[in-house]
Amino acid sequence: MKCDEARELITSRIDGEIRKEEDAPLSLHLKECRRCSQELQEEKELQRRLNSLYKDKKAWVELKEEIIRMINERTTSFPAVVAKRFPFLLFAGLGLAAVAVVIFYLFFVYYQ
Amino acid sequence: MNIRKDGKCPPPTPPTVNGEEFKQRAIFLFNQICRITLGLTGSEDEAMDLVQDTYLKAWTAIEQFTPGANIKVWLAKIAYNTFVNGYHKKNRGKPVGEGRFVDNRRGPSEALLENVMDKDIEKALKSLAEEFRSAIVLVDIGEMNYEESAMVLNSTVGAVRSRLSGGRALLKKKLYEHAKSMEFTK
Repeated sequence: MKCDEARELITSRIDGEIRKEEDAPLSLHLKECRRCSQELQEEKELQRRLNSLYKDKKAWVELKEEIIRMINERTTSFPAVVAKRFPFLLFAGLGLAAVAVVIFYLFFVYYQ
Repeated sequence: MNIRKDGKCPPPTPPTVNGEEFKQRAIFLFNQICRITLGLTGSEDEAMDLVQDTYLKAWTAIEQFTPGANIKVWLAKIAYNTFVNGYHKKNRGKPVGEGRFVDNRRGPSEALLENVMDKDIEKALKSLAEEFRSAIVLVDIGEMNYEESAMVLNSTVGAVRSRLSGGRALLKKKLYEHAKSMEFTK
């Protein structure tokens, strides 16, 4: 096996994606080739470092809660969302309705 | 199971996606999706916007999700496509990073990598061309296998493997050069 062929197989082995029939020739090559053997170790270390990136970001916690809230709002019916986010609109609506009823009543009584 | 009067079973009804179940599964994957978006964008602000867009798009298109399908792949695919079609386009005028594969076998030694800071790795990753970076982000940071990554990238397993191999080689080269400039190699 040539070093160029071994390169992709090294990647596959590190990721646990190597096929059985590829593994034995690679092992044989690694025994003979110090450079590829070194590359395997380096790539393992690089993968370990990459795997530890971006962990424990505190800003994500708030974002997670915000997204859950937004999804929940989209699940809830529109009037319920309006009532929750803009309670004054609900009161204003009720007030308008009450005024309309009173006007209608007065109008009705006047023309009776 | 309901049996009809004629003794035959009714045709199976397609399973529907339970919204609550979807929410739980999607939120469970939140950290992994965040890490993928951070790896893709290389910027915390852009990553947060991308995560938010991804989840809201997923929730809006929940009916398109096939029950039993891999939800992680689905979310990662939405994130990746949103990134490629939107966020990435903003940077069209800027240099796209090193994309040409260089056969450079002289990588940093393991001890050398230990001396490289996380921010140096993040910077080197960000400087890679999108085709290499996306494969590394999905497999090494997003902890996806080759098949899942190929689905996200709309590619083949072989192509993912090539991109990974090339991308890691470029990354090692950049880190080696960085370490050399910082005189870690002394």
